[in-house]
Amino acid sequence: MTMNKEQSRTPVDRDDPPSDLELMQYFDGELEEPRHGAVAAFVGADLRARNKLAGLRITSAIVQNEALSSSAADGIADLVMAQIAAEPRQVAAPVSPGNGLSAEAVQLPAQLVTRSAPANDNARRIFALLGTLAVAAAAAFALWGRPGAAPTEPMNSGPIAATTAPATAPASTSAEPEIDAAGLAADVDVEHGVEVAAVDFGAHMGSIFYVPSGSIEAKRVTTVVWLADDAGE
Amino acid sequence: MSLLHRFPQIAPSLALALALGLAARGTLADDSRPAAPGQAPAPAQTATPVASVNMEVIVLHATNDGTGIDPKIGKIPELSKPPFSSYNSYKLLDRPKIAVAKGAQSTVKLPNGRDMAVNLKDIIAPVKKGEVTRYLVSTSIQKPGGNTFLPLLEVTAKAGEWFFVAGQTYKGGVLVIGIKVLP
Repeated sequence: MTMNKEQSRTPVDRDDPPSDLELMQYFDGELEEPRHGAVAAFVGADLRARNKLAGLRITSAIVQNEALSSSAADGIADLVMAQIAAEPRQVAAPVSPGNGLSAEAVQLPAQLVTRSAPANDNARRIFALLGTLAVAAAAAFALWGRPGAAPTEPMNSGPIAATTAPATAPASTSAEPEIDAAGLAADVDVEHGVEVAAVDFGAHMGSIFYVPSGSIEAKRVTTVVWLADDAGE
Repeated sequence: MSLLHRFPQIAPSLALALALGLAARGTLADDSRPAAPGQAPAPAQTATPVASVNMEVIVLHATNDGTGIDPKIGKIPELSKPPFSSYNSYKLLDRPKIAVAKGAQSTVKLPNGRDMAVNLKDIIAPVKKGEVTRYLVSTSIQKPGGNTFLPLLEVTAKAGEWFFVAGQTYKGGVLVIGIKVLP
């Protein structure tokens, strides 16, 4: 990536706020000293910077979850296809000998299915990935793109680990909630019983979840707004 | 390593998703603009003559103390799914019922001393056959000192469907508050 220009900034001025690119590099562990230390100090003292990092964490979790579930689904599809391919004789067995079809001809459909399967799987994966990424983007914008949401609370000067305490919000914890990528991807056809018309998280970090509320066939989801509560009780 | 380095194959999809997100934000921004002076306001939704509706509020304490889901909560299967499943125990703290008139506001005192205001802004009658009445409900949560924890959450909901506001830290866990319009 062409980030060297920004990364080559050497001043360790703690009042110099890091750019979004630097925050991303910091999140990825790609920022080098002494700038890394300066950005870490800034993040420790700036709520908005911590919110941006939390947004990156959520987006990363969603995308990684989707990637893992896709690869798991590939494995299942491969196993099923291997099983089908391994049982051509069972398919051929019910065919009466008098219909003029050879054993090879009867085996043909199974081979065709084997060849066509990857195309179907890719389509499913692409749509699932697009849906998930759209949700991830929406979540990122919900957290990041709040121009009027300047922090109104006292700055927390603690280290960044303090904001990742398990008691705050699932989105910002190390025990991050398992994000239901499949559920999110299927979000396109589900019925949102409760629709969010407007939301203002104020100075807090917040996320909107659509949680499946019944069977998959029912395609109904429950709306959950989850805010981080840095101030506590 | 950045996200795009890890998953280079998703770069086009990510760009599309971001574009969709931006477009959605633009649309929302447009919606929030006031109407032009010469422009006639949109026709108001037809409201049913219901004076007020009853709502149920459920206040739960989510922790990881291993006690499980309080049977008094009843059947809320969502509690075992993410993000609720981040906590393995849910205890019922309060379950008040409130009556809210259209355009009026009712307040629920939360266990952490904060006030949750619930406002029934509108009752949206069904327009097409097969639709049901929806309720435009707004909520906000105020801290005792006057600061706002949640400035605004406005939803349209059908009767009988929960929506949740969660995340306020409380006694080693968080508060999970569910609201539904009673049929």
